[in-house]
Amino acid sequence: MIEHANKRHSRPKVLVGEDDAEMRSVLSESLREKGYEVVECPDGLKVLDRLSSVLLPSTVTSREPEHYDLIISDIRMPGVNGMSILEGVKLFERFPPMILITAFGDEETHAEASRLGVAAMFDKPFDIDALMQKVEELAPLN
Amino acid sequence: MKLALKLSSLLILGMVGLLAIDAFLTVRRETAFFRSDMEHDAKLLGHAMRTLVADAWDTSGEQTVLRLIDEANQDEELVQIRWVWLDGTRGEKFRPQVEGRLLKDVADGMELSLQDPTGNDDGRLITYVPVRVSGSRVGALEMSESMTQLQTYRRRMVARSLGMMGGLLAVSALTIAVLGTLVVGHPLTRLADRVRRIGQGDLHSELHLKTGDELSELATALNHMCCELKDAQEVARTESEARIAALEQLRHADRLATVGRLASGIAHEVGTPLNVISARAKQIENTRTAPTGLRDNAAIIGRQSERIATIVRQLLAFARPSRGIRERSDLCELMHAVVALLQPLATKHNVALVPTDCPSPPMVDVNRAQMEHVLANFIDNAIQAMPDGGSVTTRVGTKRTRSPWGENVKEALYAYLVVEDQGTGISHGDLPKIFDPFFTTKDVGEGTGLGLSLAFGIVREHQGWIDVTSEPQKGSRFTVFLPVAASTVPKSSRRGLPASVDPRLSTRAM
Repeated sequence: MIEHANKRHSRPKVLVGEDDAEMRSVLSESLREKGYEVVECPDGLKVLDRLSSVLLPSTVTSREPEHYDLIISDIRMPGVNGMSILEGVKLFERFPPMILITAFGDEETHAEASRLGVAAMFDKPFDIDALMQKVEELAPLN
Repeated sequence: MKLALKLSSLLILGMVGLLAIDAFLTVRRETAFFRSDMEHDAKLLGHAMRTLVADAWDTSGEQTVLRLIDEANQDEELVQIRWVWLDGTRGEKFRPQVEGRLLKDVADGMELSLQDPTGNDDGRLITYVPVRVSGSRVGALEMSESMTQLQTYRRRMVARSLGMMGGLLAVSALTIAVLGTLVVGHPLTRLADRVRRIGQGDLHSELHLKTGDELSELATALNHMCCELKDAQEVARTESEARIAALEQLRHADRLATVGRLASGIAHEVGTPLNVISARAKQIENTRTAPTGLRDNAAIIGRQSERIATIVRQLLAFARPSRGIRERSDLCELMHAVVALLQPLATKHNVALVPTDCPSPPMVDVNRAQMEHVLANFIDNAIQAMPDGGSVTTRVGTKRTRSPWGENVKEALYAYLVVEDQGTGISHGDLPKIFDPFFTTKDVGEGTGLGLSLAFGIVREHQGWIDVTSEPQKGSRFTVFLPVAASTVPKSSRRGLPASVDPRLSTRAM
């Protein structure tokens, strides 16, 4: 709670999980250009690692707690995939909204993601501006 | 000619034999008649003389008679008449020419004719006619006649018969030679010739024999047969071509079906680069970007486009119809290409495609499109066997082994390609059926069941075979064996490129 209040007037932080370097670069650049702070993760485990400091008390992680306003993650990643992260995130009281991006946007995946409470899902190749619009919607800059 | 000779030789021999027998019998009969006549004449003469001699003996006495006979003999050429005493006494002059013991019957009153072959001529016919004269002594008239005439007659007859038989043989031989050749030999030779040419494949030229007999019928029948053979050949050729075309279509269809499956995996590969391209292009459009940023973005777009292009090229290469020629290929490189092609599909299904283990790349003459199809099929099956993920390993190598095709095969060097998974495996009952066309354990709509049967056919055509080991719930291993290319002209290339000796071949280890 207290952490929340402290971070309010700094830039919103976005956690980006994407294994393709160029794709990750595009996302990070676009976000930073818009004014977001970006933390990049090349795989699911790194994402989870970062999230643990948010979701678990500092007594457990013995780390400075981080705060994320949004998670953007690819579904297909080495190690833990985006869907599992979405599922895991919901177990905790405070969880940031999640946008999933994927190349395998079939009905099943969309339905599953919706069921798990995804904030938005984008199928590759998507319009980067559309994504940025959604990002602003979910994690407004002000 | 030979046929005519065979047919007529028996006839001719028979005729000549009969003539010979006839001639022999005739000569013998005629000779007997001749001799009989001679005997008869001699006896008649004897009878005639007997009476006169007996009378004269009584009238004029012995000496007169003997002198008269003697005188008569001087004049006579043909028949020599002598008086003989049968008891053999009284000296040489009145001794019979033949031995006394042969004249016993004459002494008793019988007449006798004998052939006496002594002397250096044809023999003489000696006739004895007994004559009763006064006194107790037994005498006879001995008439001896030369048989030269008879022998001459006999010889002439024999010569004539022989001449006739010889003439008959000569005429027959000539007739057979001429007619046989014209009527039988020549047409048959032409027929035999035609048949030989048919055997060599010439079904077009026709043979017309105007002999008007069974031979010309045979020629007509042969021409008919050629026509029908031509038609049958045509039908067989058309059917064969149709079958090959159908098989090719089936293979192509299956290849495209695989492409369809690959396509969904490709989406992952292509979606991300496209995304990057569109985002970077937008950045270029954005006037706020610095020039260095522009160049960077352009470079990124270029690289990502190339990435997409490679994927598309790989897919197109796989989907192309097989060109039907075989090329000497590095099997490791072939396996690598297929693994790369199937990587997206594997990733989609959380399957790890382990990079191919390939210690020494073998060179094999293969139809690349077909072999890629086979390997893609195996790897796709492996991926589908592990719905919960897993890893698929591939291996390429060489091994000395014996082909299961044929009998008494020797060990030879073979290249092998292995695709192994940790999936659901194949049940013991299904294992013998997996290469049957349309056999599948997948759900309706999930594949045609043709893949493995087509793979089997392709590998067989390459003189290879497929080994399958599987254990339910443990995994399966598919191994393709192919004969290693010989370092000289390969026997298995069809419409292929001329082989050139690859100096690397001899240094490649087993």
